[in-house]
Amino acid sequence: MRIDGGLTWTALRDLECAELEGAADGWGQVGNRADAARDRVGTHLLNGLRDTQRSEAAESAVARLHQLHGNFQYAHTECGLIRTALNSLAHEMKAQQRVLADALEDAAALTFTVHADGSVAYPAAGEGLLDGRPPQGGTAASSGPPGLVAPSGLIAPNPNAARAQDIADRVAGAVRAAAEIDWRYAGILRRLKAEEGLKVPASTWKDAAADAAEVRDAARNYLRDGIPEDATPAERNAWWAGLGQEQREEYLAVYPDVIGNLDGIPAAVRDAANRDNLQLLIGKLDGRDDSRSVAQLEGLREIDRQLRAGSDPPMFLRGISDEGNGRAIVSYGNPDTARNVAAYVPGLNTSLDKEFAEGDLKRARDTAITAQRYDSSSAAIAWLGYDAPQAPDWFGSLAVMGDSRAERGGAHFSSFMQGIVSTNESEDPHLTAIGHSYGSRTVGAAAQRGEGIPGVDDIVLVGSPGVGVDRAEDLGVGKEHVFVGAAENDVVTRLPSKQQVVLGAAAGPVAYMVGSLVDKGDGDLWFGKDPASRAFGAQRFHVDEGPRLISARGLSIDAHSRYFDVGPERDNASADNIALIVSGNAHKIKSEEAR
Amino acid sequence: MTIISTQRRGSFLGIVERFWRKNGFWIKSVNKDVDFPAVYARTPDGFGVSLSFGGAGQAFFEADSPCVEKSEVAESTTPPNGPAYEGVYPLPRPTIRSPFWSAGAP
Repeated sequence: MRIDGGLTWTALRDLECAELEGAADGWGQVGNRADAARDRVGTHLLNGLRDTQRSEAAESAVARLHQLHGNFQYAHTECGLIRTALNSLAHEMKAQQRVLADALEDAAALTFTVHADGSVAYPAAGEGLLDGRPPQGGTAASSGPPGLVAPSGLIAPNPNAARAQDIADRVAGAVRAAAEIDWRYAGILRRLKAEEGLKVPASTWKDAAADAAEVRDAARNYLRDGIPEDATPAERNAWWAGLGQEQREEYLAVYPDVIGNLDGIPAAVRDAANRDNLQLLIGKLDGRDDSRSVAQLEGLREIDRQLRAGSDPPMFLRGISDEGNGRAIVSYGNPDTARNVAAYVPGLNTSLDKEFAEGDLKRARDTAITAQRYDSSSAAIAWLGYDAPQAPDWFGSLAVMGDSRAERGGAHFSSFMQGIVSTNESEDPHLTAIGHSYGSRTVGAAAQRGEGIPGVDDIVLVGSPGVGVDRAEDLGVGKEHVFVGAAENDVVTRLPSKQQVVLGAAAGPVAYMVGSLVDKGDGDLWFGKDPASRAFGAQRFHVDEGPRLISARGLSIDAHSRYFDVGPERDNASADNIALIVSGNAHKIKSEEAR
Repeated sequence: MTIISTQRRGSFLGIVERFWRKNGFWIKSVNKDVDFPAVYARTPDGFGVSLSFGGAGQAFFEADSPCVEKSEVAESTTPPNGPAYEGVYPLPRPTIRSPFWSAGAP
């Protein structure tokens, strides 16, 4: 629509924005077809080949199909961006057309004539200063952008002159703005071009991340009223349900990071958005050499590997981001259709890295698999939706660690569970919150907010240094629904209270573990009463005592990290007990005497 | 897979547990629940074994080795003597009735 010699107001008036929107629809359809093709390659071709064929030819075909899968995903992402860029262009152009139309209407009502060059002719009117005859008519031309030319003070006595000047300025302003919009979008659309060839390497995804940012920046006005980020999860759920298919696609294309991490949005939608986010994040972090980016990239690549490999129970990526120490929320089993849904909050020293992507995700996956043995309608989620404290020397740093991370994390966790409540389709879902280590303090913080953790029926605390309350009944689910696993040799469940540390500060916390000072028997731990103590009043379930802190093999804190292990060599009684609780069979656990 | 009725689960577990004890296994813990009973044990050479019940009387027997370096594990060369249910998800519940083990099951 660029016109040689500059844009004219007639060209702006006659511009068919509907054609731009039609083109946007076309790109949207192409994008959807790419998405459907991606799905066909991923679900049918790849799974079919992997499950039935074992040969070099099959492996090579799988590799090439992976590439094709990536190409379709990339095509889907870029087409979505082009579509929104075109819609946003039409939206902004229509606004300038309205400004122009208003000015032209005013001119017509005053019987002024707007010339092709934008100048406005007006007739004689008013009263002459000298002879009483109306001052004669004339022509007003825009004096350039407003504010640049100071009023001269010599005002023409013909009142039409000022009106004509105003109209001329509005016409010129609309044309100037439209030319700027045209120039801006021409640049964006030109840059929305893929590299030559069929490969879609990380660098191309990095480019796609920049594309998304640019289109989002441009489309802020167009999708402005959109996402109700300040609303409750239930309200967001209603907002999403009320959107048309095309609007949903546009939000997904331009704001995958927002939609993918928004509580209240259905799991399948978040999963689709986050699979795009994952590629965009990998592209963004690829090539950076600071230790945080390197660690996060390794974690993201491992999650990507698992998603590509496929999983039973199926994986749903419910959240992914490079915010803070990184965010990753992965569900095994569909949390919207399962009757039993558990969310596991990891603790001390957890961040988005390879260790999390392997170890913590496995905990959730194993919990889902075992829970499904008892009730097939079960899903389990690994929830890294907060910055867990990082303490390289473990216990040493706990002394300076407050509750603030747990409090902030607890607020996010509450919102997340409210999201599950609003998207789960079961009549009466059974929800379980599982906190490990500092994660149990985070679950404790969530439980103390308002009416307790939204929708949660049972709470499981393992390897807990205290949860911030002294009695199980203060966690909002009734003390008979609070379950505690504390391995005999897990020192974290025996961290002395702050008071005791102050008394023996000279010895240092590690000296407490090693010496006989550990938990003097009053049940007071770091973050309050020992959840495994009789005074706390929770149900304690059986777990293996775990390896001792000090043995012939040296110092070991392994007893702190075995609660979810499913291999019988490590004693899967703890994992089975957790799964019984998660599947709604808490009355069938093997219990253990309180400390 | 054979249905093991609630009435028979205890004796099924009892037989296995006695056999394990006779072979010097250390019984680490037992869940005596009627529906989901389980027994967890360790062999003298450090292997872990467990037998546990899931929904609909489905029995799960598991075994694993003591700690080793992470490595590729070769596929078993012995063909299964029944349906392997490889890649089947979700796993079907037991359907085969045995006059003894399924006695009393609905």
